[in-house]
Amino acid sequence: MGLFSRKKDKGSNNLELLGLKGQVSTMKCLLMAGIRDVPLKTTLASSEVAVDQVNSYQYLETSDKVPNLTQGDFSVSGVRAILTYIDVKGKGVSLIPKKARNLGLQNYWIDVCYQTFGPATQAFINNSMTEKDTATLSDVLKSLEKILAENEFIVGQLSFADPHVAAYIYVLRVGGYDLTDYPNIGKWISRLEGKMSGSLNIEGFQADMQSGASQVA
Amino acid sequence: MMDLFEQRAPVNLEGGYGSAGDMKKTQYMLQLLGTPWDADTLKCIITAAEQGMEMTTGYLDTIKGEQDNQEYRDIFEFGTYPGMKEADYNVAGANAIMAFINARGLGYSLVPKNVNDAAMQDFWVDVAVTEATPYVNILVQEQIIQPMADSSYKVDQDACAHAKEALSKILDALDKQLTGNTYIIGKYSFADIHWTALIHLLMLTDESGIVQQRKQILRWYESLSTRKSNCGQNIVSFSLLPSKENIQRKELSSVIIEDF
Repeated sequence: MGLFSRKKDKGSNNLELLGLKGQVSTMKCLLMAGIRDVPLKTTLASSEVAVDQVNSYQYLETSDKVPNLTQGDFSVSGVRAILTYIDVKGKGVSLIPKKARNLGLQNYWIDVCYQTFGPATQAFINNSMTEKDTATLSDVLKSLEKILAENEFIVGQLSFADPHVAAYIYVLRVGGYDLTDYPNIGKWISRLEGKMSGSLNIEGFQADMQSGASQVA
Repeated sequence: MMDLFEQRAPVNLEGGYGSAGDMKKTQYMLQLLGTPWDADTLKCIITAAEQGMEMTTGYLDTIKGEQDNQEYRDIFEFGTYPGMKEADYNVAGANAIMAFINARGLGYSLVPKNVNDAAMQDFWVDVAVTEATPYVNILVQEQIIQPMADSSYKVDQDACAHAKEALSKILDALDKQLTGNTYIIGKYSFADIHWTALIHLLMLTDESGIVQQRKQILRWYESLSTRKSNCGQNIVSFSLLPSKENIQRKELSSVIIEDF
C-alpha cells in the first residue's frame, strides 16, 4: 500500500433501519435503499402512537426517533439524513443532480411533499379529508401526471425527488386511493421498481404491520 | 405585463454587479419574494450572502394570503413560499432556493463532503424544521405579528408557555451539540443557516432569555454577527437579518455585493 493510500472500508457493518409500520418516512428509506442497491436490514416497530405522514421523523413511546439508521457506531434519525447516507453508500452515481436548476427542482418537490402532499395524504389516511385536502391531493397528482408524461423521472433524471414522492403514491395506493386517472404516475412507479435490485413488497409493508421485519435488496 | 417579481423585487442593473459586463453576472441576479418574519425567507437571504450572490427582495403579504392569489399561483402552483426567480427559472421553498444558490454561488459548498457529517447536518436541519420551527412560529405570531396587526390583541399566554417549554428541551440538545464545536457540525454548513434564522427570530420575541441562558448557543450566535461570508467577499450575512422594526415595516434586506 502506498504512503498516501487508504484501505477502503469494505463496509462489513450492515446498515440497520428502525422504521415504523405504515410510515411514509420509513417507506422513503426503503425506496432509496432499493434504488441505490444498498442492503438494509429493516425492523419495523409497532407503536401505539399515530403514524405521522408529514414530518421527517417521529418519536415512539420509548423516545426513540423513527426512522433511524445505524451502521457500526454511527447512528442518525430522520429521512433527510438517512437518504443522504444511503445515497453515498449506494452503487454508481449519486442521485443528487449536478445542475443547479435540477437540484432546485428536486428540492422543490421534496418541499411540496412536506408542506402540501404529506398533510393531504395524512388526511386521506386518517379519513379526515376536507374539500381543500381533496383538491390539494388532486392538484398534486395532476401536476405529477403532466410532468411524468414528458419526463422519465420527476426532474428529468432520477433524483431524491423520486423516492420522496413515490412513497406517498405507495401509501395512497395501499390506503385505497383511486389512481386509475393517473397512468403516467403508474408507469413511473414501474420504472422506479425497475431500478431496484430487489423487490419491495408494499402490500407486505401493510400486512406485516404486526410482526415487523423486512429486507430490501 | 410585469410579474410579481418585477413589481416587488425589481432588478436594477444600473451600476450593479456585472452591469458593465465585467462578469456574466446578470444571469446570477436573483429575485426573492418572502416575509421578514418567515424563517425560510431569512435562510434564503443568508445563503445568498454567504455564497456571494446578489438578490433583490420583495414583500409577499402572507397575512392576507397573497401566496394563494392567482398571480402567485400562476408562478408557483401550490403557493409554496418564499419564491425565487433567476431569469427564466422560478423555484420556491427554502430547501430548493438554498440548494440552488449553493450550487450557483461563489463560496465552497455548504454541504459537508464527509458522509457522516452530511448526514448529521441533515439531522440538525430536520430538528430545526420538524421540531423547533412550529414553536418559534407560535411565539413570533403571538408576540410580534398578531399585536402588530391588532393593538388590542390578547396574547395566548398558555400557547406561549407551552412553546417556550418545548423549545427549552430542543435548545438544550443544540447547546450540547455546540459544546466544543465552533459551528453545529464543526464546519459552517446549512445546519447553521437553518438555526441562525430560527434563533434570530426567537431573539426578537419576549422569550430571548431561553437563548441567552444557553452559553454555547449564545457564543455561536454572537460569533455569527461578525462572521464574514463563506465566499470571501466583504459581507456579513447576519447583518441582513431583520430587526423588530424591519418586521413591523415589512422590510426585507436585499443582498448587495460591493467588493466585486
